[in-house]
Amino acid sequence: MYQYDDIDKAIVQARVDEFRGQVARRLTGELTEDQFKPLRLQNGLYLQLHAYMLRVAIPYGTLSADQLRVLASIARDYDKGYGHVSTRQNMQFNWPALVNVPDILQRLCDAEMHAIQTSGNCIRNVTSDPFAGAAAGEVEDPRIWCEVIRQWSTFHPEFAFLPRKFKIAVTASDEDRAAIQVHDIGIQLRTNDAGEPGFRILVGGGLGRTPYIGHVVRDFLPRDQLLSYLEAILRVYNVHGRRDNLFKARIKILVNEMGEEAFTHAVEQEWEEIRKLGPSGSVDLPEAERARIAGFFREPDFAALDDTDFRADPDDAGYARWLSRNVSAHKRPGYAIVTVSLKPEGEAPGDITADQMDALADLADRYSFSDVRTTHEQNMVLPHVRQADLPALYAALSETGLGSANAGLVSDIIACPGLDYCNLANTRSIPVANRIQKRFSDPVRQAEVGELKIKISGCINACGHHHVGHIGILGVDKKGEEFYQVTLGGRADAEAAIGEIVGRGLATDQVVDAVEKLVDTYLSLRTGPEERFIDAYKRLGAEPFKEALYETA
Amino acid sequence: MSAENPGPRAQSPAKIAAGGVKKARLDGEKVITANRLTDGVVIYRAEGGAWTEDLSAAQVLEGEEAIGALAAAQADESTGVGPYLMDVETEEGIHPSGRGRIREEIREAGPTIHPQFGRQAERGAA
Repeated sequence: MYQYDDIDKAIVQARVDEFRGQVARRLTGELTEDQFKPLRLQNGLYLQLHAYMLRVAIPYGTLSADQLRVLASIARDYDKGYGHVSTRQNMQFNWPALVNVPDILQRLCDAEMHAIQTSGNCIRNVTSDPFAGAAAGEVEDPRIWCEVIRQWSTFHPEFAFLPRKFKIAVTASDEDRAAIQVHDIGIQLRTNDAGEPGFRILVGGGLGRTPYIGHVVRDFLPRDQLLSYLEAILRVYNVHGRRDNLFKARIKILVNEMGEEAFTHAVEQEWEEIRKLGPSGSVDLPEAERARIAGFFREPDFAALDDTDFRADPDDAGYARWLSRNVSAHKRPGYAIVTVSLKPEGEAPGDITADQMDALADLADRYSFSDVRTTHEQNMVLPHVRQADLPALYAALSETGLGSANAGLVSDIIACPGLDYCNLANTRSIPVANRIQKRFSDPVRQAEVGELKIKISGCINACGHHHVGHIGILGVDKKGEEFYQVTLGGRADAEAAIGEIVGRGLATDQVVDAVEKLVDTYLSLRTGPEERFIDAYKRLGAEPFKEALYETA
Repeated sequence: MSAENPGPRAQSPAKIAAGGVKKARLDGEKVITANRLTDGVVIYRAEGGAWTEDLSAAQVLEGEEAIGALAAAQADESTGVGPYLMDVETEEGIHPSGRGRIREEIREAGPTIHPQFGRQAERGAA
């Protein structure tokens, strides 16, 4: 993974020192709250319902085992013993005291981490495929380009005060595990007909109150021109994006108000202007620098192994389910990718305790080249596990409460923190997720239902990605009571789609029954177990599900 | 709508921010609440302008008196961050009420999913 050079170390340390001074001045009254608030937000520090919340950047979801231990130590020493994996692959701490935050940032800095640009109207943490570098079929490791973008966008003065926040995701395979079509910019590494590497660039996707699927503005961009092209997109947005209305300020609104063609034309024109300046005006990366960064993402020292028949008839039913749901194919023979579920029944989706973090770090050292990933679906991944080690790994994960065999199943729910923590939320999300998990507690039933992605947001800001849930659940406040609106047919994979609202909002005690009705309807109508919920929905449309949901209510 | 019954807008012209996101009307009993600067803990304004973690010790205010006290709380930034007026009802103690009831109950007690955290845990232990 990437390691800081002296410049990285110096700028992050300088930021910690600066924030320490800012906190001290706020506490003495030298800074007003209005002056201090943007400064703390630029360091990822929010003020939520019960406490401050610190959002730590996990660049493209990649952590070393040692970094995970540092996060565990922060959870233990400065929080209440746990952290929370967010839908931007970051880790949030829900209870830090302001007076301790400079020390927390110092501890992060010492481990080559920070919370810079995890808030504010700037380019946020670049997200990626949690299977990056491990999945078959990648053009190259997408994290190389995430790191390039991270370095380009960190403290970029022109893009520090955009109209609104800006989210970029990069993937390198056809199977989209990074939801690139619902990002401000989605980038897919691919090759052209001549076999040369480059990028497909999508712009204007997003969720929130106005969801859109991104438009392709460039089907193929040569690899060495990425940064100047991104600069052109950001410049057009910075100039033309709305600043008069918070809810219309994202680039998706600009793209759709200008029209795809006019927006693309403006970007291309701006790009040509940049390129006319020649090498002195271009921010494009010299090949030597690309190669230097790529050097940090070289493959680990894989052993020459053969594939085993590890899926054949395991004795233990729980282990069999885990193999079936949480173990994915690796690009190298004899290895596998393991999804570590952070969705045990009854816990907040994405929460992981300090002890679990330490245990997972040890397992990463032992079984996965010290490499750990966070996922936008609020799970974690050990990307490079020998197939022969899977039984021992499963046993160790189970021992620490991380052995849930539910990746991609009905209980593997994305849920935002909701009204239990969040200052913006209208309703709670996590208790709804927990009640659905309880209803579908039987692992055999979950396996029978198969892949089903439920995503829950506690308000229209859609941090729980409900628009792209196969079943999406949006909490709405109705005169002080919690109601939930159901959407169907959303998806964030390569066939990304925004879910359709199927009817009136449901009272909180009706939600779980509604989900069960939807599941039962699917089971009764599917052509067979191989037809997933989302496939059945695509074939049948919303009508039979609507009928089931509202027939007697 | 008549002069005797001018409608809800005219009856309560003042809108006050609650928690930075919600809007409330200047009707009924209010308590000033904020988060403590040093650690974010939920606090309430007591008589005389001191802050307390105990909702039952908060000062209950109405009308212009509430607005005046809120202005004073906003001017003093040494302890409370983001003060606003929350709706309360005062039968058998002071309790959150109105549209923000669930939110304020959670702020007061702690996350409903983590009974081991927040004031609810202290009450449980007691």
